[in-house]
Amino acid sequence: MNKRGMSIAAAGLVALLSMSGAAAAQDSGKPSSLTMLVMDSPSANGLMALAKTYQSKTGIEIKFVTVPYEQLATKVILAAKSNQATYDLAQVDAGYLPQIVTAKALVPLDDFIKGDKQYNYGDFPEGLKEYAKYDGVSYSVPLSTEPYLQWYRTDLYQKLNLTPAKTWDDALANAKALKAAGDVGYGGVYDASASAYFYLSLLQSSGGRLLDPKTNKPLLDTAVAKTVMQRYLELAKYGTSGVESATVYDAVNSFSQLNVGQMILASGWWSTINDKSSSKSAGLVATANTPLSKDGPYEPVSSLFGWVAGISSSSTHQQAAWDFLSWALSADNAAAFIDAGAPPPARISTTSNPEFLKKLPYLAAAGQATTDGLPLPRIPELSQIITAISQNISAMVTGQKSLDDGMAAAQDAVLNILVQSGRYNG
Amino acid sequence: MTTVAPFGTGDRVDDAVTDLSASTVRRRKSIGDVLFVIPTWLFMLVVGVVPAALAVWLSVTDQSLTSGSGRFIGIQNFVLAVFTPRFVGSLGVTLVFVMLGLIVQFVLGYLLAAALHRQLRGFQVARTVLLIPMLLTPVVVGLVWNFMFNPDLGIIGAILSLFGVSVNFFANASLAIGVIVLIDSWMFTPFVMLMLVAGMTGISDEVRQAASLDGANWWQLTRYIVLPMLKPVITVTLVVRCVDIVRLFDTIYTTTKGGPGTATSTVSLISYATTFQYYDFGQGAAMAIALTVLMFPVYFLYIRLTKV
Repeated sequence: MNKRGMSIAAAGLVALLSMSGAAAAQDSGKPSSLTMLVMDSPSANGLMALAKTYQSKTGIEIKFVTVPYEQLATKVILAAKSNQATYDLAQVDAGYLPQIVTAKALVPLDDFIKGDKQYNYGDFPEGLKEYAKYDGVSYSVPLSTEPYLQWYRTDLYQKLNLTPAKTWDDALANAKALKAAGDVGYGGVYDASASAYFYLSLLQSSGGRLLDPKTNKPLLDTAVAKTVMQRYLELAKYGTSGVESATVYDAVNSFSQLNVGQMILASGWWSTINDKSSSKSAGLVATANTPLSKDGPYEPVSSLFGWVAGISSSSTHQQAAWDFLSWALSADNAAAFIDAGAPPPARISTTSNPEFLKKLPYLAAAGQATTDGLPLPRIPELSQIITAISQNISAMVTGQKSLDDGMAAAQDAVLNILVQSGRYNG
Repeated sequence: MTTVAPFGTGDRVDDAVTDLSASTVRRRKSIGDVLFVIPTWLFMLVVGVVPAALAVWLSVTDQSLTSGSGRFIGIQNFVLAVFTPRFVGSLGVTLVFVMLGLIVQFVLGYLLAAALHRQLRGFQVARTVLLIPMLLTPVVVGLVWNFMFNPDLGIIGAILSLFGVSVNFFANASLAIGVIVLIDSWMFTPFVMLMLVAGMTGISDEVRQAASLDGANWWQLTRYIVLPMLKPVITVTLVVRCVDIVRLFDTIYTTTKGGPGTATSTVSLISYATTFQYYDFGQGAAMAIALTVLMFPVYFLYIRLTKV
């Protein structure tokens, strides 16, 4: 290529790059479509059902990109980091919100929320608003609220004249009675990757905490942490034959297919367990608040989990994206969510609506959990901590480590993670 | 082309001109050869050298997807992620998988290859059927086997319960390792078999017949004739499988997720978790680099044997 040719090619390339940069930066007004990153879940199904109505109302098509759970946070972050407007909206596990926000992958929504009468943020309990925030800023809005609840089989409880447990001692007594009757006493999760969610939920409901709220010092070496772990391991003795390696999916399968009397599980599984086409337990389950015991210095509380929805910082249609969220998650669409088999956002008006409570009896317990429940610590290192504790739970329940060794190793691992990240320097 | 010699030395001038032309042609040919190779070089540069160099650079920076500025921090990532009991433990687990996997896959692969080599009736159908596992996606295979081994709902548990046996394979470290080796062997023994069958067809029947005439039994034939003659094929096959097993990830991720405890937690698994769950690219890269360096002897052996 001669010099002139090369100059023209270079100039063309520069012009092309400038144009693409400009296109990425500007908000081109009303879009013809928006893209939302979701995981295959009842909540995503609810949004998909509403998207068709939204398109007919506004002409804006909502395209959904479904990815596995493990990739959800990574995709959101990568899209933002590469500054590609791949997604406008994203469904996010609230537990990962700190990681995603730290990567600057979501935009603050406070300005959008403020004054949006249709969305009516005042209809949410304060605890739930906090759940969608990080460092006091709303980077997301509640999509589904799925606190851990006590699930039990009404037919088995009726047969044995049992009542839902109020305390963890009651839960243990129920597990013994169920096992003595030939049923499964407790459906637990003890695998090496996610069992810590369940242990930590038990810890919070027993007056313990993972971290000191003021200093971030890990508290797994405290008496309450050991007592609760002992109780958690004790419950495994009343589980299914596969309980020692059970993932949450194994536990849900067992609860759906076998005579498992009780378990602790997020409320979002309601439609799955009550699906008559695949679950033998459909119509035979009920929920109650998580058992509470005062074994530690903190207030015993249930644990909050759930999905939130946010707007990608690389979106070029942020206002349009908010308009969709505001409409889809408004109180007016709660019924549509429920009809689509999805857990609705836990607005006060939704969890207290008699008609909705009739359709989804768990909403009463979920509503209470949203007012007095607590999420796990909102720090970016949480997923690393969950793995470290889960591995030790798995080692303890399978007899590879004693209770003392396992708890000491878990405390040490969490301490290392927090010191390395600079979150705790004690 | 000829040139008139001005001073009566025509032959030498002609030779010189001819030499010049030959060297020009050689040079042009050489440039032409280089031009043909350039696309391959560029491809290798883009998909091989650049990512490898980037990984090395990442391993000495504090680069993270969520935070970190990408500044140079020396060997800190190696200190925090590689020279640790966690990494050494997972390296030990990886080596266990390599040893067990190679032994099981070689023994089974050899027996199957020997059977196929005899070309009994239906051997072509048997060969096709045996190759099917190798064609399946590891993630799907892992999920299916995981469900089969589920103690409460899986078919293997159901069969064992008929004999009054109740075993949770994923709650026992040795059994969990055994299950992973079983799944990997089910998938890749056919590869070993295929390689060995190809090697066996290269051994002359006359050699076997001569040994048989001398009274060699099956074991002696195998020990003193077949295995020595298959040595190059066996070595290359085992080296390829060794590298593959070191990278074993999908099967573990879809079955045990590294448990019970950390009994099946390999270097690939912790490297993945560090990079894509904790988003610490620097430490993830340090682990990958360390594993690559540890595998250098195997790579050199492979290169030497295949004379690449």
